Amino acid sequence: MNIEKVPASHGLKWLMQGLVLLRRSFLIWVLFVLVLWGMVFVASRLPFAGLLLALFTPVFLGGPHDRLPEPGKRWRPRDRPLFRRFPPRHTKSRRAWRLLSDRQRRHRGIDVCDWRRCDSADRRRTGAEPRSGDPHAGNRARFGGFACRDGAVDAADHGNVVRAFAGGVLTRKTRNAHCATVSRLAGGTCCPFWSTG
Amino acid sequence: MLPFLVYGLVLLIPLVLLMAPFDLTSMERNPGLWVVVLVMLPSIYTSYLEIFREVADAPAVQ
Repeated sequence: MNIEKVPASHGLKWLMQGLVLLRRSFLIWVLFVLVLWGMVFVASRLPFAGLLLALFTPVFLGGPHDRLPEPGKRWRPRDRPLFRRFPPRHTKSRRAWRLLSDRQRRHRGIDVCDWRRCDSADRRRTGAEPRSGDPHAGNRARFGGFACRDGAVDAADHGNVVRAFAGGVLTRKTRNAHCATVSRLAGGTCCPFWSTG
Repeated sequence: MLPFLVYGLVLLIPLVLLMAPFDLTSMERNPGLWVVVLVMLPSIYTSYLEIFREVADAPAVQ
């Protein structure tokens, strides 16, 4: 996370952008304000609850804000790292991971597969198997491991991950860095597969 | 700090103009405040998006 310094004129710009956001998704913002107002209203009538609410306001704001659309977009994409569950410990076990249904895997976000440890069915399913028309297939093959595509990571992110390691030698260091990158993108779901070997 | 100062000063104008015609003794029942809050929350959200940015990872190719 980086804290940017912005010029003073951006204060006005934020207001304008806020108006644009409000116009684009009016109902969501109205609901957000109503919910927030309701919480404040109820808390103000309960002893000590007002103080607690004040302390936890950033937490309450974090959730709705995460679901709100970004400027320039109508809707927030469905998969967001903040709300994605981390995979359970037993995902270290390949068998246990396989017992999960495809649907459950999709809910857990990105599924990372080590080239050497997955069978061809896994590779095909997760997209590791080079497919015709895939611009990153060659890169994937070169660095050996990859982050497979899921709804969570868009094509641009996926391409960046792949490109960052294309042409490099896959060592423990690069692999760990790769893992960190994918974790950042997907909410920390790949490490169990990458931590050994 | 300066952008937020500008932001606050600009927001103060509609806040006063919209709230003044209504009942100032009860904030919850003042429709002017509702309108301003409705503008304020998205703009605060926008400001946070601009200030707190994710740092792009440097490629770790050896």
